[in-house]
Amino acid sequence: MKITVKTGGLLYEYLPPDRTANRATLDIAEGATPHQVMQDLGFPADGSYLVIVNGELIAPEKRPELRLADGDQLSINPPLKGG
Amino acid sequence: MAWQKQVLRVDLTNGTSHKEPLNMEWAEQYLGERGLATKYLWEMMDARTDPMSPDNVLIFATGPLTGTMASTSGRYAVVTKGPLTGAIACSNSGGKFGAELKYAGYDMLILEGRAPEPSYLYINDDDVQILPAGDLWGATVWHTEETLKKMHQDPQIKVASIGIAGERGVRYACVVNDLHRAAGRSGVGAVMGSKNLKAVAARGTKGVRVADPKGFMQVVKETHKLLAENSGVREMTELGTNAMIDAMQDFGGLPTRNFQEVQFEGTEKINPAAMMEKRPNGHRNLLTNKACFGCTIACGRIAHIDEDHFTIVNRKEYWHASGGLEYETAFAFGPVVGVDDIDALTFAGFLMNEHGMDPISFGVTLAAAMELYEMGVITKQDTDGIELKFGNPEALTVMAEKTGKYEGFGQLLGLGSKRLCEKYGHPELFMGVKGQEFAGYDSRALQGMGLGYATSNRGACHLKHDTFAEDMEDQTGKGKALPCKESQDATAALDSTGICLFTAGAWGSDNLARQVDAACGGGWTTERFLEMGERVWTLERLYNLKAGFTAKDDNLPERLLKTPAPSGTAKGKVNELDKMLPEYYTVRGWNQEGEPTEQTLHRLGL
Repeated sequence: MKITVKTGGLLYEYLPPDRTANRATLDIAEGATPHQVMQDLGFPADGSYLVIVNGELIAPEKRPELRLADGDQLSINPPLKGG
Repeated sequence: MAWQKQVLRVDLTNGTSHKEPLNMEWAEQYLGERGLATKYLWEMMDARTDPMSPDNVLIFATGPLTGTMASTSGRYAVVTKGPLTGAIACSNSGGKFGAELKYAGYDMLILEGRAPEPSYLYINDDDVQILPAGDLWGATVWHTEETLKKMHQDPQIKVASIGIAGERGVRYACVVNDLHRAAGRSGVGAVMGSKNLKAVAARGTKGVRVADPKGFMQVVKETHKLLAENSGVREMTELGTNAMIDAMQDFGGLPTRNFQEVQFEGTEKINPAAMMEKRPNGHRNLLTNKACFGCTIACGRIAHIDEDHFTIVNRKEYWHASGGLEYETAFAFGPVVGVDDIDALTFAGFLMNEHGMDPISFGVTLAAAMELYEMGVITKQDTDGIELKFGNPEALTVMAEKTGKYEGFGQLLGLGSKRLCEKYGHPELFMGVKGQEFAGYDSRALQGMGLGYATSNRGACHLKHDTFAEDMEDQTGKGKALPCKESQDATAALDSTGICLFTAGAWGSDNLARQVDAACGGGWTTERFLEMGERVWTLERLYNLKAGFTAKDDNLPERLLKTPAPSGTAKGKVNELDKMLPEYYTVRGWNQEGEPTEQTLHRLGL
């Protein structure tokens, strides 16, 4: 199944080479979780991220549990901070 | 050590100045910059004083680490009673001016009274002169800085000045130094203008001594490394603070059209990628980044505007590079006014620097005016013929210039959002706290931010606390009070060192305390450092209580408390300030009227 991944900040560096700017379409296994997708893309496990699926905030403890569905929009951002 | 142990006190009314020893007993309790200046302000003036009267005191304060080899050590603070809020104002700035003032031999510059004619202050080490401003009165910040360097035949002079906005009392006028760094918030530039003081031009050659040079060098080396290896710092270097706009958009915390919405459809036209995009005509908004004194982060952006853009097509004086978009300017000229024209946003930023105004307060005030316009409360007859609709880039840039020059409807925009909305009978449209406008975070999505806004001593502010981690994890009011309080204290401590807040992602208070300890002669444990921060925060609170503020002023607009977020991750939520505030007072050791208890005051030596 296919999902769209969108990243913020410099996290586009973890997207595959065929990305368009900060977006990529990924083929993932049925039932894959945000945690697995991030792991496969090489996001450091000890990093802090803001993860949103279809507009819903996904807390760190939910990331290994939530099963992604075909067409989902996964947004991965660096932690929020002041500017 | 690290302190110069000298204050320059200037009586503008009588045209005199003298040097006096820094009160070291206070320095041991309040360290420097924000903290020590607050102590001096508290001791020197009645908090009930009219901020625009000669009795208000204006303090430029460096910290013990200002001008040292510590990274980001260029900071200084401007502390006074703010004309936008009537509360204590503490605005700090980077650039190079702060270090130069310290190199001239002064920890602090205290300005009292009002000059009988427009003047500027020239400081060349021990040589201090109050000189007539002449034609500089009425000139822009940029012209003033260039002229003073030429007049004194010294390109090394560092200048902090005000524009026409400050001269004419725009309530959110700022003090700009080094062309595009600013003590930006709360109207400290208007206070400078009320004192008939156009500029401070400083040149210093004395350097700074630290107590333990070898130990200091070691800790500085270690802390530089921490910055260099931090991914958040790298992001700020490469993308600037505007890196966050995409995350805030996805999160649904990006205030849009005067906080009626929380996501902006034009974000990708004003984000870092848009700044770096090469257009078909070869133009690229972003040119490079820039660092302040001693900074190894370099978050500043240097940009230019397409010469064919409507804002500057016939104005060659703007065909140059200057300060580019940061997160707050992108927010204040973009989503909150609904504009997605990146060149218009960049031009508005130029105008803020050129005329000396706080972009956040200007943008949010303009947003309120736009809402009034769309409601039909004001019309083209009020707005000098400009269609003040959300999304109109011309409305943004024309009003920025009118406000900067104090012309037409710009004079009303110069009142700030609270006074403007009250004037037109719609106080509910003011988006801010204690008279100061919100920054670019919607506190329905970021609950802890709402608490920080409500309790910030200088009015709504995003820079005086840090609950971002908690706000990302949980979008209720639960568990926000303690981190809000603790981060307020840690930030107050950091703001008293002479170091930039943007080190906070890589350095904890322990790393700051170690640098202070080596520079200032020992005894600065992390515990003492944080207690100092709590003392500073509490003294600021006492100042505001004396000025007439009460717990009722620790509040948020009804829009954030009663109207649910229309979209984003917090869709359907309102801010839960009613749950957080009582807990906050408790963890602070204050009563439920928001007053520090005797026990708390005693513990802090207040």
